Amino acid sequence: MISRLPQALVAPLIDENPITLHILGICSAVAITNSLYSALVMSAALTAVLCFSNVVISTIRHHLPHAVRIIVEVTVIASAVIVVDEMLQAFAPETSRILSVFVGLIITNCIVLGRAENFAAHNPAGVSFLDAVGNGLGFSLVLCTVATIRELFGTGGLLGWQIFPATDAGGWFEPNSLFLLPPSAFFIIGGIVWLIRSRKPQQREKAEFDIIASEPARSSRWST
Amino acid sequence: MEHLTGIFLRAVFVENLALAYFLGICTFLAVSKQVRTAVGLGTAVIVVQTVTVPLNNLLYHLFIADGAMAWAGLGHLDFSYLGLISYIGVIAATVQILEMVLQRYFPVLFQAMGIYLPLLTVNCAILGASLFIVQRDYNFTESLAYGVGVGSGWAIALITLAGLREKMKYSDIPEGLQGLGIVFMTAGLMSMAFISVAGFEF
Amino acid sequence: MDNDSPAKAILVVTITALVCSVLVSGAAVFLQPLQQAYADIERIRYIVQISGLVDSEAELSEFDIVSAYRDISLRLIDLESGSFDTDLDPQSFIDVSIENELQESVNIPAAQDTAALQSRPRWVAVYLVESDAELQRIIFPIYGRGMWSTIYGYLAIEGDLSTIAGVVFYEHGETPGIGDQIQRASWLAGWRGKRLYDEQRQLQFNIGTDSATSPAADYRVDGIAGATLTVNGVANMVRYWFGPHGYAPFMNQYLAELNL
Repeated sequence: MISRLPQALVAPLIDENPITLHILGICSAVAITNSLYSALVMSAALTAVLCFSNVVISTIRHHLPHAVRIIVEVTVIASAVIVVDEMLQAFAPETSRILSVFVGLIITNCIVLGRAENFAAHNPAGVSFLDAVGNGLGFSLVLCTVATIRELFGTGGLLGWQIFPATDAGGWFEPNSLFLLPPSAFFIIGGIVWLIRSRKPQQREKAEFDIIASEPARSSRWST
Repeated sequence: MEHLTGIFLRAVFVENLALAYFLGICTFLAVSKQVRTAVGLGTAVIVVQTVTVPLNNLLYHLFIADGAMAWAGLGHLDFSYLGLISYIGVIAATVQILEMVLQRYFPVLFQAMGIYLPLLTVNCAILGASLFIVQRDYNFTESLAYGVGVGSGWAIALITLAGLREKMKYSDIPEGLQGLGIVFMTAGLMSMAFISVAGFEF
Repeated sequence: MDNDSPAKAILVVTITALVCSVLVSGAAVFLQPLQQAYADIERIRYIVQISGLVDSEAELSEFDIVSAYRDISLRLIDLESGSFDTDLDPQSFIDVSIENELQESVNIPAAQDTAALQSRPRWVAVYLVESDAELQRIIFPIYGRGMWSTIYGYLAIEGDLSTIAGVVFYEHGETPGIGDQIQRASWLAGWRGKRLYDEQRQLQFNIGTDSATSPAADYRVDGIAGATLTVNGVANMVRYWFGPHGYAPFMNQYLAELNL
């Protein structure tokens, strides 16, 4: 069934996941992955901005002069982000406070500008929209996976439910605070990349040098 | 003065934009293959941060903050929703002007780091620093110290990572971990090292 | 029109700028009342929570909050004279983070600046809870530098102007899971009944577990393991605001007035 969905939608999930393959777009979001709820809201915000910008830029792509192309794209993206930020402040103020500057940083998120420049500027609106949804989902997948692991092992709970009973409430789970600090996100993403590339060899990078097996040691003064 | 040193040191180590907040990671990973290119980009980042952070601070306090335009008799207006687009506009303009100045008056310097400047307009770290000083309501001198600090911190992290990657070129890394994977692991360890300074009272 | 002509470029840029600015400004103006109302309700919620008029642990509906707030009076104190100010409107001073043309900023001498604030405002809006013309509680805003960010909170004090009735921290950027434990209800409950000042009105309050230097149990709140820097920030800010450069002169003067 999955194979029947449009290619543009499915490809960015694993095969061409923007984060793990193209090294795009993690900048502005990983810092808030210590909570699954924040990650979900951030994923929704980014997908919304991505869809809006892809559709708008795709619609006006034939009328964009070369000299001002990038600045017009940035303006459209920035406007979408401001609208999303204002809406978050109005309808979810607590979350908006937690996400603070990172919603604004969606403007500089490599995925949004990357897809606008590389896909929407050359393709019709319909398939650009699907591409936006696909990339948004790919981004969300990685972000929410990282957030789930960090919040689960860092606090023992997810989305407000305590899944592993914590020791200071009489349970057995000692929350591992390292998971709530930035280094853990680096390790987890490294691990995810390792996992994906072990299963899909075509994504692996070639080593710069081949390690040649060394010759057996010749007899020397120290051999018996 | 101690307060400013504190802001500077915190920005370099404990609140390092690349290693604690993950800002600018795209270019961070792409350019950290060689120490030489890392030094070039690092210098460019320090210059751009030192210029744009205080500039955006002025912009915020004179025009954008709620009630900021009182000096023009417009104290009842609140332009804070225009913040994001103004800061990115200032950053794009600064980078463009810097590029033109370098090309015209410092051609050697332009050759060394000019190619990295266009990359910086959409570097999360540059916009991120401006957003942080707005959120924390720093004054001008504090934002100057912060700008130099975050630029230096990002550059130090980048150059260190480049040095480590050059050393790791000859290591026998598992195939799935080659490239992106091992760089993340290394960056994670560096992140732990930088945050360990958090206990100091600056 | 040819795509590469300057005229086309200017036209596209102008139209983009116009459309985007209408979109953005429209969203901001339309949503602003909603944002402001929500911010107001949140602020009032924290005040009401520690006012003693409602059960502080309960889930409060917006109606509960608004009706309880009717019994709280907003007053303005002038920290320079140490008394209430009746000329200015307290409403404009309630948000410490908004620039207010009427406000005066007072520099804090480095030796007294334990909360790392550099300067503090001259006028502060406080909340009085009175019943039968007798002071039940007075709620002060407090803020100061934590480990990563500025921590904002309210502290409610009983009518004797020394015993803590309740405390709440409503804004901070401390480490999630570690520093943000200062918002944990169980820790905050431990503040109730602790005293700020001794019989001679000397500030004795502190937070910590080091038995050598910490004050007697009456004046001490336990620290939070693993969140030392954040908790130190909280202790410093309470000690600053209730010290000689903060609210202490006002409190001494007001206490004298109440006892007359």
